[in-house]
Amino acid sequence: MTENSGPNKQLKQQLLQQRSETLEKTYEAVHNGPLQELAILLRADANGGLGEPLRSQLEKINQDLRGIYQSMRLAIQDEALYLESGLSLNLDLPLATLLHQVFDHTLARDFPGYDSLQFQITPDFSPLSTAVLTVELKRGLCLFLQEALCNVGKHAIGITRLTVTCERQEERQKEHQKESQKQIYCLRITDNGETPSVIASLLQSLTESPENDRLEKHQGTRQAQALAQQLKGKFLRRQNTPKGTICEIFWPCEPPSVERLDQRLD
Amino acid sequence: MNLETQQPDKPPFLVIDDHESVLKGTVPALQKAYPDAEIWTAQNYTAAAQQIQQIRPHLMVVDLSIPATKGEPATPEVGLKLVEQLLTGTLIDKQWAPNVAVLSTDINPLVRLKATIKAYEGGFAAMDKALPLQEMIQYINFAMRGSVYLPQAVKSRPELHANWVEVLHLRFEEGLTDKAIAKRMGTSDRTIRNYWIRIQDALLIGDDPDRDLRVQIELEARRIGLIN
Repeated sequence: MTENSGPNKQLKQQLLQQRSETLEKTYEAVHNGPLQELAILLRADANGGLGEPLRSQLEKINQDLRGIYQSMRLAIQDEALYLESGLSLNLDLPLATLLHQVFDHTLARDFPGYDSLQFQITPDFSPLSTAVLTVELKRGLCLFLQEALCNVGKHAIGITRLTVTCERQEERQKEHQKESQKQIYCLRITDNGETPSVIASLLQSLTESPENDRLEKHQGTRQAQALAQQLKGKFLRRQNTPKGTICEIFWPCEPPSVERLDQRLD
Repeated sequence: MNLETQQPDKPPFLVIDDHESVLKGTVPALQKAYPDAEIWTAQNYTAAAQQIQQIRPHLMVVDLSIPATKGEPATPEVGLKLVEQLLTGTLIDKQWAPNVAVLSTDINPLVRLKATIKAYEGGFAAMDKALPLQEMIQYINFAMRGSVYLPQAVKSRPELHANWVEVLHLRFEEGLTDKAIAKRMGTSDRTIRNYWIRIQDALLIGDDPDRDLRVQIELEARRIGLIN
């Protein structure tokens, strides 16, 4: 029996649950006590009567107290996603929060492709709020978004518009000569830049032929295809008109099965 | 009558916080900045939800960490639920959508509502509770004029909601009036007015009596490629 199955797994989960509850209670106490007091103190000091060193020290205590909670939470749950430049995301948070954080963080990075971008459009990730996903799939979607945005930043030239859209839509299906409709989720990254033709054709060939040997060379594409498979969906990269690239992942919005619900309630 | 047309002598404000000491700080500061306002307070979710229906506030100042009902522990989830219900029009009809100012020791949970906040009918501001009262009032003023203020770590490039971009497109590429834009987008005149304020703020265009504001917005929007 492995460490992650049977009674061991149950025990581990119970332990995690207990730790998590203790942590939440501790934070609640800190939040309703010292953090509130600090907030009142800092606010009362609008005229700077406390003097500069004292005020910054109080502000630092304020930040540190919150920081402890965040890092403890990540440490006990081991459900963190670590991104470049030291940002760690708690995968326990709602998917929309995580995707916003990935979006903001990645677009703030120093990529040549972003130089020509003079505005950004706030993505609306709320259509995904009904999706039931494991921590691993949430991690996968965050990495997918990051990879797609990084690709734009690294390869696209002269982009003026970069949009991330999220939809819950109908998809028509033909099965046994019968047409049916099913609901699917879609996460799409669209840019209007020019991709150098060599890179464009390489990316295209990777997308079209998953068995291609060259696939090994592009980890991002391989990961996106693996993620699509886990989600029972599909990954597409295609040309935008008149210029640019569209990168998208679709997956079915099946209601959670009984088995999956059981797992969630464990 | 709704917030489009209603201009009462005493606009009602509702301040929600379970700490008496905080209320004692916020309420007088707010009254000083808005001498005409009639300020009400609530200390938990249930009381707030009832009062919203009765007084139809022009402004709501919400602390995220509040109890659901009297005697229960205060948690940020309760305040977040209240804010989400306000934004989606489930607590009060959209025509009464109040301007909202959120105060909290941690405003990060609001991140996931960012798009909803920017598309919201009323103004919105989120701020750290530790801010001096004077600064807090400045951000509340933002919300009161229909704009949106969300703290950002680094302000690199302007960030606009897709609806604001649609307003720019309908006005400058299709030549529609504000009324026609509201109709086309299925929203109120007030929302479109507020979208213009948010576009102006996002593009950092100041008020200048010698310059036509809409022309300034158009020039900047074309320059950065928002419209063709």
